[in-house]
Amino acid sequence: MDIIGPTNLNVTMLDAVARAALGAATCGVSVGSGTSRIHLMNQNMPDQQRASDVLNGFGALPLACTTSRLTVGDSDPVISCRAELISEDRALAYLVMRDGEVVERGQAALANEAVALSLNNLTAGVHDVFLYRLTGNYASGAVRIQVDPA
Amino acid sequence: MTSLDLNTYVRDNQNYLKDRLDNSADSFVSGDAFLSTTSNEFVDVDAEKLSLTLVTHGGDVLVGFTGTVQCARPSGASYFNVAVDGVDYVADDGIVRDTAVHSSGANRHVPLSFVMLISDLSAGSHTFKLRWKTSVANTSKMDVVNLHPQFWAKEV
Repeated sequence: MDIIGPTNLNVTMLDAVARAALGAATCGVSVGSGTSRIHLMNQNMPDQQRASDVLNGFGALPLACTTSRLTVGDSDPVISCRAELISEDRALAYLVMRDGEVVERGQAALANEAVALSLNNLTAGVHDVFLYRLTGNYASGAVRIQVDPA
Repeated sequence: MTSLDLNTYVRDNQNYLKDRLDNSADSFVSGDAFLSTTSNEFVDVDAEKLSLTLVTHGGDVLVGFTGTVQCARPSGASYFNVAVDGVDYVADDGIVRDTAVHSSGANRHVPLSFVMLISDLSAGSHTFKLRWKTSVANTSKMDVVNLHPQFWAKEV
């Protein structure tokens, strides 16, 4: 069965957080025609609720970035998130996309109830950085950084 | 034999035989964003726009699709199937696999076209849906913004 959201979301980002939240209970996601769908392998109510949380929490994580545009060779940008929502979390997962392709993924640990993710040695391109919770309501957020050639 | 008999038993029979071949349904798809999926199991490509309903007289139906597909990974694969009345018609990996194996193959447009025969359907209303899935860690996409895929079904 499908859990459906009302807008086109980024398919790679939605897939990352959906698989983190649901594991083998999802076979993936689909996006298009004004909707986003999380495909469930079962009809368990907890999985349905978790999938709804993923959709409802998409974009709900407040992120800040030291810059939205830089030139190759400039100091590394830092993406930060400080919110009561994540104060009890141990880490947030992240995904870095350059020109639409995933170039890095991992986890960033919380320190003092906040996350500060430094992106090193960026090359030219449009970078979308997506952070998402691995627990609770699976809230997520993204920032975009334009990196120009030196 | 009267003209009424001729109309009933010759003309009307001929018309019936001709008309029954004319039932068809088709859909061109347009949208403001690509369709995309990361699903590793067959799911509807678009549950509304790529779903056809055809009332048949019983017998065979041809189903066809022409469109353009991309894979986010250079060696990624997209698999296609058709669901008839809610059931995938072909088992395993479906009807056709579309792969862009190329050193710069990520997000490369690959044309896809197939025709398949659905045999011995009963008379009545039937639904045909285009279905797809993708290889692990890949995203399959279909351009419906600049290109407009067609999905069709015709009783034969």
